[in-house]
Amino acid sequence: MKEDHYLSRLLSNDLSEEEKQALGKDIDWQMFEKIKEHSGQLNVSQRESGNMLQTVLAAPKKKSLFQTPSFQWMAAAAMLLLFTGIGFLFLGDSQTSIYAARGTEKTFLFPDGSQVSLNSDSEISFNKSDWKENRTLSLTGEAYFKVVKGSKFSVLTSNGIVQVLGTQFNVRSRSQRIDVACYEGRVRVSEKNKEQIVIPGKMVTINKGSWLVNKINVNQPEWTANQIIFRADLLNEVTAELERKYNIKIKVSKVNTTKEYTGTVPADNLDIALKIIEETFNLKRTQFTDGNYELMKK
Amino acid sequence: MSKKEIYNTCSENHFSLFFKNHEKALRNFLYYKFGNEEQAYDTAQEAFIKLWQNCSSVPWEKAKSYLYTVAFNKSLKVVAHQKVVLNYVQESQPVTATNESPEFVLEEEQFRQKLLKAIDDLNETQKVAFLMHRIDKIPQKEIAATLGISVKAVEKRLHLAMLALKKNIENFR
Repeated sequence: MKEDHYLSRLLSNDLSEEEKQALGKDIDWQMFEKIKEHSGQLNVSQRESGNMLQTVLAAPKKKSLFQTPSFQWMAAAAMLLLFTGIGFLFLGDSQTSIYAARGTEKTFLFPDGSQVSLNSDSEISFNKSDWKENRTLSLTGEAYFKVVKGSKFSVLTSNGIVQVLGTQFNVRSRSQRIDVACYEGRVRVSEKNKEQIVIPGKMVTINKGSWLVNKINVNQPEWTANQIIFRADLLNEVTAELERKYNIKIKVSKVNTTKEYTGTVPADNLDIALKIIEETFNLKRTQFTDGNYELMKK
Repeated sequence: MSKKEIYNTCSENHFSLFFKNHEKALRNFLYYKFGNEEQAYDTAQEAFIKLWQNCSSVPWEKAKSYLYTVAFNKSLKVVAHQKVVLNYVQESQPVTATNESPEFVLEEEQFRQKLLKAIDDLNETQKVAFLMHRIDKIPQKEIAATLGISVKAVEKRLHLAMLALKKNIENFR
């Protein structure tokens, strides 16, 4: 073990089973585990970035290229050609899609300043060229929107359509269920020929055709604050969400339960999240390497 | 599933997005070096300004390493480094908390205080790598790319940091 930096692998959870067995016998090992656990809960409190972005953007850009007059003319000519080209492009369809991979989150700004945050394993696609006239996008998965006032803003999902003018709302469309929570303004949800207006503090759930209105009491979706929320979810839905969020694999074997779970688990601490699920459903986990887990009856 | 978007450092939208994604980690990185929040803030701002001003010559893929290189170079001019103040995330875990005895809680608290002191005693390179990994949860590969060193070097720094921490904590007893 001379030039082997095995402690770095302990920190990144990359130790193999054999290594763990061998190193676990070391009397110092508990100390290392403890350092790892506690240092993972460290935090530094920095103030908000305030107006740093504005200050930065206010700084003038340097134009190092195209300094000489002849260059400027050439640049102008090139731009003209380019714009003609782009003009032709705009006539066609320019679909843009943005995807947040498993285990990640992504924030994106639309040309009009509206903002979307994508949860893990979620995708949106929209037409960038005529965005200002037609604010329509399709969504698979879950996303939180902050919409700038303007024309109608529509979110198409396989489970229903959500329309707004300018507001903050969260859409979660997974398997056959859609949850739409409204945090500001008004949101209209429609599915087939039924529709409903959602007001701030309320959430509409459509599960296989049946509608339900619930109260919510937060200012933003739990997942944007590193929490995963479950509302009357079955075990397979719970594990599916954990798989997406932590980019892991969970196998559930020999468990037959119709128990539903309502509550939150942390999105940044897998150990605690699994502990909560274990206690709730009375299960026991086995861990294989590389984020493979199996849950079994206790 | 593919990313068709072509990002441009000079686009205000794209730059704002880039800013949002990297601003916190960059400030933390500088804070681990200086131990001074204001200094970290100012240096981060200067680095972002330099990137924005030279956006036409920095392609999107190079923007992050450009940002950190500028910040790193500026950090060399800062002479007085101070103590890094850290704290622990307040976690609400009513499920497990009820099982713990007061002695256990006290012991944990003492350990946490020792750990903070031990981290403070680390040398700068080890401290920066260790905190980037533990607080900002940056993968080792990315730390290597950010600091412009090899992955092996990051592994070594983390490994040595762990050994030093253990030794320091035991010495406090």
